[in-house]
Amino acid sequence: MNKDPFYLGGVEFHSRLILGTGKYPSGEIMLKSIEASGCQMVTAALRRVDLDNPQDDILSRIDKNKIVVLPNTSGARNSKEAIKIAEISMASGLSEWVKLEITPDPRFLLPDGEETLIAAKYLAKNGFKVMPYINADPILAKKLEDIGCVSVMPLGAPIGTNGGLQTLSMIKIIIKQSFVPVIIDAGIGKPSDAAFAMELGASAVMINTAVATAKDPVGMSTAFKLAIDAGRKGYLSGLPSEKDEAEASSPLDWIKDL
Amino acid sequence: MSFSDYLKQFDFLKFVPLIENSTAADVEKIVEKRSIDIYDFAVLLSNSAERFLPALAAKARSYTIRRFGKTMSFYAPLYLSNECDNLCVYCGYHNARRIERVTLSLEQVRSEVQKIKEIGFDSILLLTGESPKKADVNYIKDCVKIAKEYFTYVALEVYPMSSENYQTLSEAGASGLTVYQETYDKEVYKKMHLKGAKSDYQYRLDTPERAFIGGLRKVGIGALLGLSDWRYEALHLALHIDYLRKKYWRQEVSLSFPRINPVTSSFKIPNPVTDKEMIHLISVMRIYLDDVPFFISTRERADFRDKLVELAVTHISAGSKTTPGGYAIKTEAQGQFDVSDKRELKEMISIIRTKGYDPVIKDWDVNFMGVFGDYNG
Repeated sequence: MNKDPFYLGGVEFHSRLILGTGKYPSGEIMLKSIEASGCQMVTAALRRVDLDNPQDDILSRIDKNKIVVLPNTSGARNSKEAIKIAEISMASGLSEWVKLEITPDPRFLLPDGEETLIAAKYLAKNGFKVMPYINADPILAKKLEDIGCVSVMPLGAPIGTNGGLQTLSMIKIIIKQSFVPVIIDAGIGKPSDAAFAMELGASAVMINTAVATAKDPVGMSTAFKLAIDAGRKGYLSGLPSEKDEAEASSPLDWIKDL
Repeated sequence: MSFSDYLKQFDFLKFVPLIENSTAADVEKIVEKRSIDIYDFAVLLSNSAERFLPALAAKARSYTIRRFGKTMSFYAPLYLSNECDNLCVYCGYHNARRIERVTLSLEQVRSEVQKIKEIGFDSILLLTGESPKKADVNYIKDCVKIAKEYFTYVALEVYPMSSENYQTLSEAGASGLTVYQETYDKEVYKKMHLKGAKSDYQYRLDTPERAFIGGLRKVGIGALLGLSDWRYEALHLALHIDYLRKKYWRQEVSLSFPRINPVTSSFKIPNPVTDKEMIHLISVMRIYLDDVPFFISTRERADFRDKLVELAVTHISAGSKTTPGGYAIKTEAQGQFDVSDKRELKEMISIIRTKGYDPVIKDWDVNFMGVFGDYNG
C-alpha cells in the first residue's frame, strides 16, 4: 500500500486523482478509464442523475466500496440553486459530499466566488463535506477554509480549455497558505500539467475533459495516474529550485571582518 | 489546529542532523536557491553556513529592499509600570529585586505621551510588567485611549491575557501586541521563569493566537537571545510564524531579535549570542521570511544597529527610556534593561537619511479598527 495517503473530509485516500464522469464516448469506456486510473473518487453532475431511478444511472455501475462518488452542482447559477441541488442529493441518500460549482455564465463556466461562499457557508454548517470549485483566488480560498470546507479546488485554466496551470502564481500562494487539501480543478490538459501541479505541492488533481475526450481515454487515464505519481514523488523527494544570484553587497563589507 | 498540533506534524529528529551536521557543500546548494523550505532553512542555520555569511547577508539585504524599499519605521516604547509578580531570572524587573516600583497615573501617562509626541513619533508601544493587580486591563485600556488621542498606531507589550481582554484593548484603539516566548526550549523556560503567571509555558505560547482572536492586527514575536541555543529558537520562531500566518491570514506577524546585553547584565547568560551569530540569524530569517517586518530595539549598540539597518531590519526604536516616566516626569524607578544606543529620534533620522533610507514615522490610520465581524464565519 502506498505510504503517502491524503486525508479529505476525514477519509483516507491513496489515489490523488479525481475523475469526472461526463463527455465519455460510452459508459463502458468511462468505467474502464476509472479503473485504469486507480482513482478513488469520481464526480458526477447531479442534474444528470435520475434520483428516482438510481439503478438506471451510470452511478449504479460504480463500485461504491472502492470509489467515493462526489456529486457536483454543475449547472447551478447561484447559491440558492446549488443549495437546493445539494440538499436533494443528501435527502435521497446519495451523498454528504458535494463539489460546489456555481457558474452563472454558461459560456466560460467561471465560478462565482461570492455565491460560492454563501452556499458553502450554509452547506458546511448543515453537515455537508463541501469541496468548492473556485477561481484561483487565495483570499477566497482562505475564507472557504475558515468556514469549514474540506478542500478548495482552484482552477488552473478555464474549464475545458486544457490550458494547464495558467493561474500558477495564485495556485502557489493557495498551496502555501492552506491547511485543507488543495485540489487543482479545471484546465489540466496533459499528464505533464498534472505532474507539475503535484510537484508544486497540490494534494490532488481533478480531471475530466483531458481523459474523456482523448482518442484513447483508458490510455490517457493511465498516463495521468503515472504523471500524478511521478509529480508527487518529485515533490516529496525535494526538487531543485531555480537559482538566485547572491552577490556580495558593498554596504555589508564589514561582515567579512566579523 | 493549535500551534502545538502544528509542530507535531514535523519530525524534529529530521531537523537535528541538518542543523548539526550540514556540510559547506550542503549549504552552498541552498544559498543559490530562489526560495527555500523549512528544511533548507535548518541547513542555513548550521555552523557550516557561517563561511557563506557575506552571500547570505547580501541576499537578506536584497530581499529586504525588494519587499520594503529603503525605508525605516520608527517607534517609541513607553513603560507604564514596572510592577511585576513574575520571577524571570534574567530580568531587571523581576519580583525579588528591590527596586522602586512605579505604575504611572493616567495624568502621568498623558504627560509622557505628550512628550513622546513632541519628540516626533507617531507609533507608540505601551509596556508593563506582569502585575494585573497594579496594572489591570482597565488601566491599560485607559492608557491606550490616552495614547490614541495622540498617536495613530498604538501597540502593547503587556502580560498575556485572554482574547476577551485583547478585544477590549483592541476596541479601545490598540492595533498591535508584542509577546516574546523568551525561549521555546521547555526545560530552559522552566529554569528561567520561577514564579508567577509567566511560569506557564503553554499559556504564553498561545498568546499570539489569543491576541489575533481578540482582533489585534499585528503581533510581534521573538525569543530572548542568550537563553537557549539560538539555532533551535530560530527554527521554532520560523515554524511559529508559518503557523500564525496560515491561520490568522488577515493579520500581520513581525519578528524581534531581543538579545541579553552581556555587558550590562549581571545574569550569567547560558548561551551568549555573538554579533556574528546575530548577523547569521537575522540574515537567514530574512531569507526564509522575506516579507516579515523585523524589529530591533535600543538594547543593541549604536554601531551595530547602524549595520543592521542596512541588513534586514525594518523597524527601530530611538531615544528609548525603559523606566516608567522616563521621558517627561522622571521618576527614580529603574529600567528593565540598559539602553545601549542612546541617540534620540532626530539624530537617528539624519543617520538613516545619510544611508539613503527614508524614515517612516506615520504608517497607520486612526480609522483602522480591529479585525472583527465576519471572523471565522
